[in-house]
Amino acid sequence: MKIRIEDRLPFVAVTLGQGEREIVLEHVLLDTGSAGTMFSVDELAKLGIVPEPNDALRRVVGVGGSEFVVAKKIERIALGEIEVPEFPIQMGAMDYGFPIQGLLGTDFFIRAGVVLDLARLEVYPSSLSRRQERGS
Amino acid sequence: MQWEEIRDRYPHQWLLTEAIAARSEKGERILEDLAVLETYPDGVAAMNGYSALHRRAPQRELYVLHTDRSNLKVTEVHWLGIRAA
Repeated sequence: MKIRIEDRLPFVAVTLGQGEREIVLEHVLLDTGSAGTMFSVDELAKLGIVPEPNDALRRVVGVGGSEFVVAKKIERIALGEIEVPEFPIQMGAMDYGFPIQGLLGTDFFIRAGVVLDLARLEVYPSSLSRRQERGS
Repeated sequence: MQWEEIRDRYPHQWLLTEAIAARSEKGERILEDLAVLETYPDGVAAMNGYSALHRRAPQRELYVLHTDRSNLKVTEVHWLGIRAA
């Protein structure tokens, strides 16, 4: 999976699936400075994931201020061939003044076991990286 | 207003609220006093209302809440990534 640099930030395409529905988000930020993974409320609504009265509530505090998000879970999240089932995500407004549909945080990178190869601008599974090392 | 009073006044509704008084304690945000800013027909509309006001006034502490909720627990987490400013 290719990483695109836009406005000097690394973006990828992510596929989200819930039941029969699936969407591809082209503007998802790779964000190792974020502990969690978040998607915009408008995109999640396309999958039928919407705020519900008793969702867990969170206040995310970071550089530049704080924001309100709702804790959710998604059935499938995939970065190219790397797919993770039943992954906890945050639903947020994600209105940062530039086009962004979501961000993948450190929780996703660890659970999916990915290598962020910024020299080649590629993301690939760590298992693939080990096979390459053994083969060389 | 206290949450129980808001629940009585706005039953079974999605609200955009603002914390007038709140404190952080042991990883939780305790909302001591809330003001109701707007009501909405559904949760997505309420989140979009949040988004619009948060953009204009990022320093205000806003929450989207449904009054069927009895427990007002808000977990506070710290991330370093981009945040709306």
